[in-house]
Amino acid sequence: MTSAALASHEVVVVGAGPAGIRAAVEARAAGAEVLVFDEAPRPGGQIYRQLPPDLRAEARDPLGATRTKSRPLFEDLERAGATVRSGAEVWGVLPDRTLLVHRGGGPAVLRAEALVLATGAYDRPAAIPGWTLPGVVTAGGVTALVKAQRVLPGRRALLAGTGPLLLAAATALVHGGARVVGIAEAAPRRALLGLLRRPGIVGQALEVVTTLARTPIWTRHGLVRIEGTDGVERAVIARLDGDWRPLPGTERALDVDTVVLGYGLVPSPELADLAGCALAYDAGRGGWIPLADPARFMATSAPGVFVAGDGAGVAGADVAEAQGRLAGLGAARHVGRIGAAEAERRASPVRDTLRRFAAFQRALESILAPRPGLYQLATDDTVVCRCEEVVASEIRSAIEDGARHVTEVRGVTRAGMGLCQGRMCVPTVSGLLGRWAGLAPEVAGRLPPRLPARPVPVPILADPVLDAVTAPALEPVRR
Amino acid sequence: MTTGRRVGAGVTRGTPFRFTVDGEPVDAYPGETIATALLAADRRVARRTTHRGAPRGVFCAIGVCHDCRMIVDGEANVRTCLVPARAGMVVETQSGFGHAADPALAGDRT
Repeated sequence: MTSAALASHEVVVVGAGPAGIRAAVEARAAGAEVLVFDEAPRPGGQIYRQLPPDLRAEARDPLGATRTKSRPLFEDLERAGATVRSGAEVWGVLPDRTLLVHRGGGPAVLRAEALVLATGAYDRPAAIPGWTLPGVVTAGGVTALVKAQRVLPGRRALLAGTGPLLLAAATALVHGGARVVGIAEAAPRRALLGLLRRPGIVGQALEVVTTLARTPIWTRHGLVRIEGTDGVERAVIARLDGDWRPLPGTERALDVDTVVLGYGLVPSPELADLAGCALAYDAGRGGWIPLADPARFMATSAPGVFVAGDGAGVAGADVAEAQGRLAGLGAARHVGRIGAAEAERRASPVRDTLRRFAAFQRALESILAPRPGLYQLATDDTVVCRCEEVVASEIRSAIEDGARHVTEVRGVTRAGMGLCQGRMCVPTVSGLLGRWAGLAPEVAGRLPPRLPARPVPVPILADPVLDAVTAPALEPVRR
Repeated sequence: MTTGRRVGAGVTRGTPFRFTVDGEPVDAYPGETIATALLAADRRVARRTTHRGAPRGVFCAIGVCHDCRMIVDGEANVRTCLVPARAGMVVETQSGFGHAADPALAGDRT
């Protein structure tokens, strides 16, 4: 394929996790033509990531527990008749809902009449001394490796962080045959109990409790540092105060070859930002998120652009499905496939579902909001920006020299200029602006949206098909 | 010390094949990414960083962090957590950006 001509599509969904799938199914059910782009080889998103076709699951599969929840999603998507393009990276959205897509060799440019962004979230970076050592893996990464690739990153693991994904990662490791020496959970026990307010959790909680029956869970504990030469050899944990600061004299060293970091998730709002959606900072939902309201079908401030799922604020897969339904209805209404009254009628039970999750959501938000102690762990030589190898003392110097925004820190230190495009450092830089300049995350800010939102090969950027649509948008980058 | 290994329970694998990493043979099964085969073979270091020569391996495992980059069939900066292993593939530990040694990049910040 060389390049596709600029075509218009009725409803385009970006992301095929629980939110994107539900949006696609709902919009199709309302009669809309739906095109779905997803970067993975198969739909499912991070949480319902499928095994590759060449690894066939057996009838009794201890790691297939989520399949009871994901199977209906995949069946509904299949039946809905939406066009699903897997292995496609959407690397840009222009404010008129023009999408820039990279899929197998050539660029594609198309316009969406209504756009649903269900771009998900990724594990929050935690700049803890030693966190760049091979053998340190994120909680989401461990789950992906063990469940969808059937490989253990190591034999003896410590998990540290907070929230339900840490328990999910531990469960996967135990099922996979790893030895989990313990889970250091920053939240107090009573906060964890709040998670039990999630509707339908009983069976799952039972499974976690049974699987982890012999795994120590240390609440109000966290990592202090990770040690090793060419890989993890040891981890040091300590008791934490309510702000996640290690309490002196409570340190304990553990011999492990693997450390799993699960300090909550950070939403990926880059495409919404590029599309012109207004964003706000919400600590409990993971960071910067597009403003959207279930009462308005998850519509953003940008006309015809809807958001759903963890990318619109971290709240888990069930909430993501419900938000996806609403966004799909909103998109179908936007393109005129259903009227306002019918959209409201279909949305009503979905909104009821969301209301049932409100108490769980509040519990989750209280657990996941990062506390200031997380940003006190970095010592002078702790890497903050993994790509550009910028250490904490360089960030501190920049702040002492007057930097008061993450873009100013980037300008001085290069933190945020690497291949991950700031995803692995900006949340920490923001936290360090809090530590050393007393700034709130809202003030420390975020990196301005830029094309490409994902690294793409230069020949893609140079393809003439892009010139007409992207030249104005790329202008600030060239300057 | 052995670290990674394949999980036996619950799945049926196809016929294994071989590729090389820094000239040494590594086994993989159909459907596995390069990173998976390397973890199962106890190879945790994917690359050495540009400025400090520090070891890096699989971190996010979902294509976001770019830390598991290696040179694959001569192409640098391939995210091994995303790319399926193939028979006969030639994979190399990456140093810096994977280009020939550039004195302008080496050791300028230690």
